[in-house]
Amino acid sequence: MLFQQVLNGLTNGSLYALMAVGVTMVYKSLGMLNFAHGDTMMVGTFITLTFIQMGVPFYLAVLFGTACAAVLGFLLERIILRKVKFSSFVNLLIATVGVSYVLRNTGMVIWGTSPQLFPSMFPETLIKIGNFNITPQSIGIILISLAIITGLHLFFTRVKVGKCMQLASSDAEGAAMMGVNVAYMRFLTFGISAGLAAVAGIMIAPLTYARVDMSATIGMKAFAAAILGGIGNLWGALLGGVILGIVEAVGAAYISTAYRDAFSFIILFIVLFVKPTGLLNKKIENKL
Amino acid sequence: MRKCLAWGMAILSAITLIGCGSNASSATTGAAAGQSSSTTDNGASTPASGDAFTLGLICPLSGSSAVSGQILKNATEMAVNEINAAGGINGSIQIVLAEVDDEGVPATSVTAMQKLVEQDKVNVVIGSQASSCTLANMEITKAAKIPQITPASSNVAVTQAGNPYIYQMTATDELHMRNVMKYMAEENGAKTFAILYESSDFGTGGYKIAGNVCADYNLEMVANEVYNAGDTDFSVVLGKMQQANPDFFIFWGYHTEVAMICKQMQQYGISYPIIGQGYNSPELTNLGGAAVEGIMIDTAFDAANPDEKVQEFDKKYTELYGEGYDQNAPQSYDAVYVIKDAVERCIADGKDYKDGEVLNEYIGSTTWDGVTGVTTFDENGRMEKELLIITIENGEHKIVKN
Repeated sequence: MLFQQVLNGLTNGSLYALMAVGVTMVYKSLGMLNFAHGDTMMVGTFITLTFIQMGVPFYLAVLFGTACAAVLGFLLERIILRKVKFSSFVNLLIATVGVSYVLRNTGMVIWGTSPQLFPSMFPETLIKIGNFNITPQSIGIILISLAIITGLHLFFTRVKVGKCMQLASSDAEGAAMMGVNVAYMRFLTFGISAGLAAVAGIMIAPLTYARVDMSATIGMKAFAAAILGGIGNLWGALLGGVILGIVEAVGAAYISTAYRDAFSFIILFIVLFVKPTGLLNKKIENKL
Repeated sequence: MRKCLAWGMAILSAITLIGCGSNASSATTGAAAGQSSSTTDNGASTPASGDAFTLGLICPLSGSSAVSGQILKNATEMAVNEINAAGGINGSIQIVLAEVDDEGVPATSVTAMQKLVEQDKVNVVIGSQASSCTLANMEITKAAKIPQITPASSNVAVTQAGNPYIYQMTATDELHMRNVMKYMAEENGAKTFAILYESSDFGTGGYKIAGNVCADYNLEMVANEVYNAGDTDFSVVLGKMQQANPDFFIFWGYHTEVAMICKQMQQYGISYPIIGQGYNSPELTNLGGAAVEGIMIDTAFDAANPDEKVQEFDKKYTELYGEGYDQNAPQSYDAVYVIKDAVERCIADGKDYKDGEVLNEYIGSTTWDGVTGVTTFDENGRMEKELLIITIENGEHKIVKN
């Protein structure tokens, strides 16, 4: 049962990680949490679903949905955040909270409040290894998430645009002096982050149905995972997500399913108490 | 940096709290939003005069439960219009309907009920929908000695408080649970069961009832598992229930999770008879597909029932108001006829039906064969009825036990 639960935890954990990566990217570039991240995921998922219902082939619909979410991310940055950015970061935070509510309620008007069935891209038959049941879905989700995060890492370390984005987020002024268009890099960051959210949503929806309030729990877990691993750190997001997933699954199995969500936040508090910057971040020096 | 994080965490926790509160109601508020403006307080028609009999109807016609309230109103009006068109109660007494909106809010329902009693001078009241409203406003009818029938409030507390003027014409969770156990024990020879319930008042209430009444049917609870609304992975709870190897599963939860649980049971190859309550919704088959085939549901009413009265009601209601009603519609409809029957028996015995105490006695001794089957009340005013058990076959409802 332990192995089975660890596997379940890994599946959920890699989804949390994928969401957390988006949160962490935006945090690094703008120094704030994007509270509309979960709802961007919801919108991307529903746009994909709408395309599927219109008869667009599945993978094409996924591509369209992800692209639409990325465009939403671009628009969010260009129209709202760029205007607010010149005031304090608190205003930025509240602006994203506002966007989150607008997206969710618009979603309710367009797609209704009842959950909808979302087709899975994986076969439903179980793979049996000894006593263990593994769904192709779990394996698929874990591999895709890992591939995306590794790909992102390569993009940030090997590709020129990626390196520029990295530079712009760690030292905006320095990057601008080197001739990097910092505003454009932020714009890209938002788009990629939103696209990632849509991919996560498309993988979550077959498990949970597509529902307009799907961001409520998964969005929170994404923040928790990002902070747990050390916010601003790509691998930290992965580690945080996986830890949350496994703690939840094992806690649910051996203690009580009713407190599943509580376990992830308890572990977050413990980690922040011991290591306030998160698992993978270095200690912050107090600059005077 | 630290400051940013502190702010972030503060907002994070705030949103979590908001999220908890709003999720539960979002489904109904969204659906109700479109309807809520259509009706507000319709007010009373002319007060009772001469040989008229005034029937008060109290239900939510605005606010988040407006859709449910509208169903009560439709069905009640349908019955009243039928009776009036046929000449009225006893062929001569026209029913005057006085309607008030309680918004689904207990405080409002008390004022609304006061209006019915003091201004409209009602002889009898049907309502309200929410148990919390009925619990609050039934004190007014009790003080005024006016009989009140709720066709929708299912909380056992309504008829537990010893109020002689309240009648509960809807199945309580205890009635549902007893019906489920009786059927499984007596007709399927089951000895053990495992229960899976939602961690809400509804779910935990069902679990407690199951523990209290199972001995009456020689059933043993071998496993009990709980889940939260919105959970997506049921492998743990299903695994534990399978290990206990009961004769059948009882589910006490809503359709979204139940459909998902059935899918995962199919995936893991876990197969047990499933019966329960709460998940009777057209959405169940949309979400569950083939996985919910064969699942059994305990219900007071189902339009698939081939019974003549049910089919006639279904035809009349959908013609007038369109599809999409729940069991509260036939229950409200039957409630009007229960009142009509009581008044007629009153007149036949030469008693004054306008005396609340007298009418109350006659309602208490009701045996009315209506759309929802034969209705009788126990000494607390709680409905006694054999409920239906339905199953899903090829995506359609099918009656298993009538």
